[in-house]
Amino acid sequence: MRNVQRILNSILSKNVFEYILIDRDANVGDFSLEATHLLGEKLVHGESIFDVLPELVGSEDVIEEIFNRGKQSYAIKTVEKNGRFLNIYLDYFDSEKLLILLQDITEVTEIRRKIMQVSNQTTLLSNTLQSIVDSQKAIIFLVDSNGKIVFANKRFHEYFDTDDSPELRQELLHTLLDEHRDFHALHKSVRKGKDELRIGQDVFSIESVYVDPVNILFTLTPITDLVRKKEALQNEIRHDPLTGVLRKQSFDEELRKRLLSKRPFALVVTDIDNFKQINDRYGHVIGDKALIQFTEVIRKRLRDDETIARWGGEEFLLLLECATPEEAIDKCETIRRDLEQYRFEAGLHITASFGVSCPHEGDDAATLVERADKALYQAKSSGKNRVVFLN
Amino acid sequence: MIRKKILLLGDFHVGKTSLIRRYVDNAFSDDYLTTIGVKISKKQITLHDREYELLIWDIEGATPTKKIPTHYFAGAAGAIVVGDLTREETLTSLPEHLQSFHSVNRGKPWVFAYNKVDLLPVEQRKRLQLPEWSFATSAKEDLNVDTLFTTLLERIVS
Repeated sequence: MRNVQRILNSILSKNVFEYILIDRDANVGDFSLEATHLLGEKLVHGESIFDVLPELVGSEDVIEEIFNRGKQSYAIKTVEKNGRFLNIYLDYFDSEKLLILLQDITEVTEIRRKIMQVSNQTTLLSNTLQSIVDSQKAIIFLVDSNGKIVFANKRFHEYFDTDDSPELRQELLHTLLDEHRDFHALHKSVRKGKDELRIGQDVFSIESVYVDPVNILFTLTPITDLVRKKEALQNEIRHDPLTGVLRKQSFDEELRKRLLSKRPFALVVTDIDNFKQINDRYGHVIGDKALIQFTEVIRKRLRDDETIARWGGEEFLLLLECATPEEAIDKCETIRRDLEQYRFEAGLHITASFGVSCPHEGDDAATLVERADKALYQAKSSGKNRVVFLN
Repeated sequence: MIRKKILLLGDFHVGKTSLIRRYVDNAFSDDYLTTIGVKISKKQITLHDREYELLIWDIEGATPTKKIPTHYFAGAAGAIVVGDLTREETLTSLPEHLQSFHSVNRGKPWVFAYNKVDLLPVEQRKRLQLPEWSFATSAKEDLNVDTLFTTLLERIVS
């Protein structure tokens, strides 16, 4: 009676339905009828429990300890067996017997399995998406309605040298946001067409989109190389390849801008005297070198906001800052003297003539150039190596 | 007949169940069914003229939020620690699983299975360099599966 009570207590305490008693040699003693059902194996008195419950192989020490110490219990939980899920408990029964309790947890475990299945598949999908996003060269991050970065890809962390924490340093946000107040302002600016973002020396093409009503996804694609190449190409197009000064076409743009600005300036057309003879006598290599040195001498006298361009051959155009025509004439005289005194390639002595003109009310670019060119013609025809101003 | 309890450990979805199915039933399925808790499979094997019964414990894989419960580890003679060659994170966690196994079964032998090698491009397969006691396995193509289990048993009985 006492033993029956003990089994009952164990069953009640664990909500367990079936039991098996084993002796010290781990042989099967009494068991409940439904235990056979649960295990899917026929239980026979006297047979080794390890034959019907191989789950207990490896637990021999535990079984011995329960016998020796008494009152100790041991559990192997969630064992799939015979198409069902069981919890297996080992409980002290008496000095000669140990109680194995089988709890059927199939129903709840199947539900858990379904949840785990979905969870694991979601994790796999999430990992795959993360790998895809991490493999991108672009910096990708997600900002929530509070302006907090809630997701960032690997490139983001590499570029900004941050850890995986979404709590990013304040200065980083300042760098990223530039002149914008917050990420929402940045987004608005992008929507309005500002599609480039500069961070230090780097240039990014920036895109932003609301992925849902709350979160904005920003994508920063690095275009630094592209921008550099574009700038180099533009530079190449704008400048004369031999001397590095502006081409006539680019100079015309500058001239038009200057005329619109209404600030006083002077237009100068200058031409190397007798250059054809230099080419004929010393060859084009020396001639080209002379042209380079010629522009170098002039550039030394120009301010940053003054311009030099090659019109063609040995003829050049200058835009000079000046409050009065006299200032421009003086500057041209200085340059003329510099050239006269300079030792050119192969010991050449080179002089140049200058035609100077200042804009009048209603002048357009062509009129101004034409007048300066006439002044140059006068300088040439009156003996060369001189400056002529035509008003 | 000598019974040996061996464990298959690793992250979820690395192919532990598939390796056992291939080894025990010579079968394979692409369908993924999450293992919950533990399921024991038996396999009889003769090694050096002795009969062994392997009790292979297919233990539910570790997930980002749940580690493998170590109460299954008691009395294990050895472990096969499995990683998925297509998922870097499952390979980096191999030492962690081994350490977990050794925390209960100090000094017990193990082998590593770098599984799903069939999914790697041929060139990558050729370049694979694995540490000691490691095998590039494929349950799908039945590659190195027998070797994996036999090597572990060899290590257990040696």
